[in-house]
Amino acid sequence: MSYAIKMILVMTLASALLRFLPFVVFSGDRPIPASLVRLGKTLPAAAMGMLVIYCLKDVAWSASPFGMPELIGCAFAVVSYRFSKNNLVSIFGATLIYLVIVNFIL
Amino acid sequence: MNPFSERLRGHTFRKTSPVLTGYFFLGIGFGILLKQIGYGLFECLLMSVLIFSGSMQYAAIGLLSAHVSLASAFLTTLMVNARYLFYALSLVDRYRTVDKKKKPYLIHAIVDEAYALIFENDSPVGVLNEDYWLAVSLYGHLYWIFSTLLGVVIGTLFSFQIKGIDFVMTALFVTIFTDQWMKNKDHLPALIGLAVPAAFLFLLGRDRFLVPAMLVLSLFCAFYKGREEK
Repeated sequence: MSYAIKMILVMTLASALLRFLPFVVFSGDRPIPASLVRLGKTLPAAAMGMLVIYCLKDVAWSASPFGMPELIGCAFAVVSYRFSKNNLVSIFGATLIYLVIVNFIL
Repeated sequence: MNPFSERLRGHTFRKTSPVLTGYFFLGIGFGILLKQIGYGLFECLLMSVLIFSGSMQYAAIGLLSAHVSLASAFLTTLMVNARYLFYALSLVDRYRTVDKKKKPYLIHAIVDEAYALIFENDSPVGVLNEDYWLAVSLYGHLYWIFSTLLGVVIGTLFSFQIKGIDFVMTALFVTIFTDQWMKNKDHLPALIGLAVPAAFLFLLGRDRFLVPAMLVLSLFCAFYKGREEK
């Protein structure tokens, strides 16, 4: 089995675990443990923060252009989403701005 | 062949049309990126059918091209998709009486967009709730499969290499992060989510920071009680 197929199966397994576990474990009257409820409430926001850092891990902050294209793109995504609440505008607007900066300006 | 009545199909199509717009562009973006890192229709189909998670599939682009270990891919998926656990927990009661043949698929298709529509539960008159839920889930899934495959085809036809196109991934996560920020009153989990990985990145370097960061974040989130219990 190739690396990619193994990876896809592992990611499938982990996703299925999250989706099915509550139905398998809490199908009766068994109460949901407090730590699991807390995880469900707080982990999604923390995980997104982690993914943002993960995406920015290869940025060279100490060399020109000092991560400015990434920061400008991210800033656009944050500000536009706060005002428009439209995720497509934010995602593709930020990408477009970034593409213009790295391909035509720098 | 078609299990849904005409009324249900029309109603579901109208309710899911915003989902279609979102999936269409995000799916094409994903397909193009997947093609760019050297994979094709087969991998795309497998991912969109089996994983069926936009944010995880985008994250997978990074993981696949970095050749991370299967164990860290497993951990990353648990983190990235942790919200499905939350959705599933809140659907346990609602799905209790659902037909056993439909239930596994309904659970497999738990995603942000379908969850929102199922929670709203605006099913048409004269239609079983569970059939409406099934239709919403299936339509969303098909839109996603179709859009991602279309992205791969577009990436194959125009084998352009656009410098920086993978920034769409960063923009996606920053946008979801902002959305979470606006929904939650307590911003500490989000801030810790930025600070802990950033600290480990600085200390351990970009190849080793992810797993320890995930472990610390999960422990924090499991024990963090919050400033206010809602």
